[in-house]
Amino acid sequence: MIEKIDPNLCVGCGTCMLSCPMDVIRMDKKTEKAFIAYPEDCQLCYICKNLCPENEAITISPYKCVRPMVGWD
Amino acid sequence: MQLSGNHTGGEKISPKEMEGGVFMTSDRGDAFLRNSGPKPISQVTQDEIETDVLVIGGGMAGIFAAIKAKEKGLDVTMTVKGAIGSSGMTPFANTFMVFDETRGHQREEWIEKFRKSGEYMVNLDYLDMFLDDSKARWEDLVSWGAIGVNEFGPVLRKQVLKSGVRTLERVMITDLLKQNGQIVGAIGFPLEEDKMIVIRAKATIMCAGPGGFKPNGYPISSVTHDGDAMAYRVGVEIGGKEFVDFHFTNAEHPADSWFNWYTHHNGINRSETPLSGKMPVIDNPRQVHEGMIPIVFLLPPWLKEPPPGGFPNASLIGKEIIGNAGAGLGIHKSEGIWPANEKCASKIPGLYAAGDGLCSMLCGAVYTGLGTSLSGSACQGARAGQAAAEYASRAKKSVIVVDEFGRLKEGTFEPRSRQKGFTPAWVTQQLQNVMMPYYVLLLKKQGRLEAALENIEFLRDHLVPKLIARDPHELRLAHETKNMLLNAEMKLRAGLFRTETRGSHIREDHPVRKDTEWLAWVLCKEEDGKMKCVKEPIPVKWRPDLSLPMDQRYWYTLPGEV
Repeated sequence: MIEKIDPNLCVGCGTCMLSCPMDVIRMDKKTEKAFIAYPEDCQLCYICKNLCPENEAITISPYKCVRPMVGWD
Repeated sequence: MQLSGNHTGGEKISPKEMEGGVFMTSDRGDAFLRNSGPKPISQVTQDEIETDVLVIGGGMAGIFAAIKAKEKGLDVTMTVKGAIGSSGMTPFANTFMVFDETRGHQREEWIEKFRKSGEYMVNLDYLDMFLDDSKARWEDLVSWGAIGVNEFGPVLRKQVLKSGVRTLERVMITDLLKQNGQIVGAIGFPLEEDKMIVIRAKATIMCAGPGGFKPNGYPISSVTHDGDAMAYRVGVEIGGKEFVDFHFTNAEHPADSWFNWYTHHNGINRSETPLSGKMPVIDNPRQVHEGMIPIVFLLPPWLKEPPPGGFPNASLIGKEIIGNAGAGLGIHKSEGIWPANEKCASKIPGLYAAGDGLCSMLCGAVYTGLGTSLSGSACQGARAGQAAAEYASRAKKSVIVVDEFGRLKEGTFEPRSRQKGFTPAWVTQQLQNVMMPYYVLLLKKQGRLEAALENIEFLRDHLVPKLIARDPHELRLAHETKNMLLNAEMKLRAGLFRTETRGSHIREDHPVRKDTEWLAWVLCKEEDGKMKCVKEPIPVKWRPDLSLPMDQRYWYTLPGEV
């Protein structure tokens, strides 16, 4: 799952937001940096990290956010 | 925006406007709203676009469709749920098969290999298209600078923008517009705003790809059979649903999909190897059913050397794998909108399709060779773009009836206005629990399929009408959930309907191929509000020689086949 976007390394180009197939990432209007808006939808495809001009800005772990199984939600 | 929490004990809550929504009162004082940011449909704004050719989808098929249609000098608009070139399945492809007679490839030999690998479910007209055009499409990619680079997605995106196509990225299309028996455009919404987008088009090309149930392992969670669903709802037949995908993931970190491919993430490589035998993964479901876990990934013995650029998942050779990583996906190029001819037209005037959203049956019942999918999408996209442009240049502008349009707008935005209900994520999880086990999708049996169908119909009829969406991101998830459920229903019904085993469709209770009955395709269509499956026989001239024994007719025989 995408774990972190380092605001010190992010240059605010918006490439990760645009290229994420799952709309996980959005741009913060105040800081003009990318942030993780919907981590539970990350499909661990690494497109964001591959296209980021500052490759180390994005950290991805090999785990997926899985919701607990409940009666209704 | 968060509410102040549960109100209990008979407290009275006065109605007030909240971001356009109305806070409901309740006699029991129980007024906790699930949807903290409801949006009345009347407050949804609207943008309208008029164009000659609309391309829905920004993967390999859509990219070629848009560029080739634009070359005819028409006004072309492309919509994509993500970014052009980085959406759907296209970014994860790494091989492009090219038939090239100057390299000694023999057309008749390739046709025989495709026919045999596809177990006679291959549409030979679309195979002809692929054999005719794959080299020219490869040369297009070379001329655009998309070959020899790791990240080809942005290169292709740049090419689309350079060609003058109007692009709408991060927009989900939800419905086709049908008037007087023709497709006249589509509607949708952007992912960051409560706004309706209406696109009036003389011709529409559906390139929205295939789909899955958001499985773990193969990164296909953004494709949810949106194209099939939109087309089915306007009366188009959908084919190929009984066949399944055999992608697998690693057992150590099953959700870490890209990692499996990462060592081979080296751009698009040219390949020229149609299948010459059985793919061992076909045996995995039966082995698992016998409890023979772990399953270890091995290369097929007839594959003497890996294709150029390496073999996808080479890092997994000799390691434990888990299947159904592509749960919900069919065979590449063998599911989707049923074509009315060999030029990517559907049966409804104004609607074309290409790529994994077109049931070209290029690969038949089993994937016929690495790179056929990407190359097939490029060939079909280009042809569909040309055909749609020709149609659009003759078509008259149409008028969209307001009542019909209003009904579609309400249907699209209803989850945004609903104040209490189920989340798309929870309903999707229930769908996954029904459909993901190997014994439903990979190794089928009548009772298990019927039980799954009963559950899927309940989700469809009872839970989907009560979905909420707290923002446009979740609205996309709500529509995807609805579309995935339709695909699940098609997969189960088509799986029940084909009472034999063939290729990737494996029936425990009908374990052999029945060439006397089942040299036919299965189509799903809507009739009187219900889904019906029909048999479409393959043309007689495409049948195998039935006097040949099974071990010559096919690469392998199944236990019990004569």
